[in-house]
Amino acid sequence: MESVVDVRGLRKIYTLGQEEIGALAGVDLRIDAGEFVAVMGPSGSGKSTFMQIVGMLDSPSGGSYHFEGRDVSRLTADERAAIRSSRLGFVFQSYNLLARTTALENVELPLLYATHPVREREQIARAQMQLLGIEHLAKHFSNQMSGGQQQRVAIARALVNGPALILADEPTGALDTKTSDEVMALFGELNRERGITILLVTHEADIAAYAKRIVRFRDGLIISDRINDQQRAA
Amino acid sequence: MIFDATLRPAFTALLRNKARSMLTMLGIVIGVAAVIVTVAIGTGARTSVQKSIASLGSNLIVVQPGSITQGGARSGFGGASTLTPADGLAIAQLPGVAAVSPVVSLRTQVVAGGNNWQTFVSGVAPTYSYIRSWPVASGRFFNQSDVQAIAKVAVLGQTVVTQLFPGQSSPIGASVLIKGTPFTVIGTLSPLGQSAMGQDQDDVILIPYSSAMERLTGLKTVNSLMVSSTQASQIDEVQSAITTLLARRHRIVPPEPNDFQVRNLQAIAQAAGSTAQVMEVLLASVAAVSLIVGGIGVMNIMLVSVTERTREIGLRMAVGAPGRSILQQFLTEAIALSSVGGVIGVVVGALGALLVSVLAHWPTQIPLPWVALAVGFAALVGIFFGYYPARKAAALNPIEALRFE
Repeated sequence: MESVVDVRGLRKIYTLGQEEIGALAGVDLRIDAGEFVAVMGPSGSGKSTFMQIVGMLDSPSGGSYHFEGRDVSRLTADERAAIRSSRLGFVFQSYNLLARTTALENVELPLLYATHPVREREQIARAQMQLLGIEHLAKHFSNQMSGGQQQRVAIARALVNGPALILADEPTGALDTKTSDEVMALFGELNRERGITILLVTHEADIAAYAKRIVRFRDGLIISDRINDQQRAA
Repeated sequence: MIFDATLRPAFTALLRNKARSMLTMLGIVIGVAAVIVTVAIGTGARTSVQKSIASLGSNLIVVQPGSITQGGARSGFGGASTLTPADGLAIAQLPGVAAVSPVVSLRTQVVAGGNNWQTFVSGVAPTYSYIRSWPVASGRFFNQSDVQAIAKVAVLGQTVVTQLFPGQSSPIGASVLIKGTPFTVIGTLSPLGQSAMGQDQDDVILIPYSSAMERLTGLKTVNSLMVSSTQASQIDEVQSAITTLLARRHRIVPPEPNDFQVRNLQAIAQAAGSTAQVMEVLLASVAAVSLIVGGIGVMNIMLVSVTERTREIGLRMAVGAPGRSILQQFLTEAIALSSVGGVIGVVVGALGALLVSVLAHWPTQIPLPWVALAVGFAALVGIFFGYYPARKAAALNPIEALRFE
């Protein structure tokens, strides 16, 4: 299998005034194409920091990170931005849809920075929304949609570039149980049927249960990494 | 790509906050409009001053007699009686001289029918009409044979016509008594209006200089000589040629002072023009200050906008916007605000200038380079004051930006 993410001895130290806080203390992890990995752990375990470094929004203090075989530490800021726009898709707890902007325009946003012509952009975005069954929301503004609908639009936005990896940071944190299950079922379906690689960060066990593989973090270290043989589907 | 990633989001953002964008633009609009109005008034004033100086005659040189000293008291220029029509004829032979006219002037009471009026009577040559660019409105100007015949003919200015012949269709053929001598009216002059000094230039009667000398003053000398050079660029050479010629004719031996004085009106025109220009630059700089104040308003609102849209910036970065693209987006917003404000300012300024010329009857004129300058300066203000907020947006940490509440 081809590796999408490959980190070795990854460390991250934050400096707060005089104090140095270790968020990651040497993490080794390899995620292959087609995997559905859930990263679990309590607050302060380093799972969010890990996700930010994998998403190239932050850089590590030590260790190596290869994305699709490329050494990320050797990339310029613009090259990392280009990877974010074409190879990565983000899904956030708070959806982060642009206000007073239609769902369709929100889905189009990553295409804006990846040199797609205007006409093509709208087509791709519409097709993606259709795949997720939310094309009827195209002209809705974010304040006209429910949380579940907004998160689906956000997922369409993450998928629109055909990314190598979807990074989902507590995607169900703001949703009720029923909607959470629907959204997680969608992630499972995307992974199973379209072979999309997903890295999910959560602190809820029943959400992590949708993943094929569960990695637990504590105090900046991986304490367990196992295949989930009781994967939930719906 | 550049259009999509910067221009479109910029304009979308501005349209989303219409009221705020308008108010921000207002500062720029007022600044640019103020520049346009002041420059329009300044340029209009300068042009009208120049026009009235030009109306005195194109490329005009005036020769006046010098001063004389009598019993220790020095008269001013023109006090001496040294210039003769023969001096004028000699000057007319110089290269670069287009025309010469002697001027004999006196102020006297004139009578026609039952009306009388005190006015200036000027004895001049037929060339005077050309030198002053002052054509007749009706009838004819006197000619060389009138001068030779010492003819009793007169051409009246419009003010004299209305004072002496009120309600009459044409004074031509009528008789005017000047110092007891009857002169026949052969023509009227086109109206010239006020001079730059506020004098009514139409309050005048022109007669042949020979008639004025023989029949009115009884002198062999004239008050001044008016010379017109063929080209404005030659005026200085012509002026010094006249000085040399007259010094020789009048047998002036240095260090004896000249008994005459030669001046040209270009110096006066330049002085008046530069005064107007100083005023114009002064007013425009005051207006430019208000443009800078408008620019600070743009910066203020852009800073607010960057703070307000921190999450949006974070998200755009997360989905792959490079810092450069964020910088361009916000810079474009600032430039759009100030350029659109600048264009509106030009329109408002033009309307303001129109209002001034209609209501206050001041001449106004909007020079195109200033329009370009004002809009360009407004855009520059946008770049200058928009750069700092845009830089701030581009430098945001995406993680913190996404967490920003």
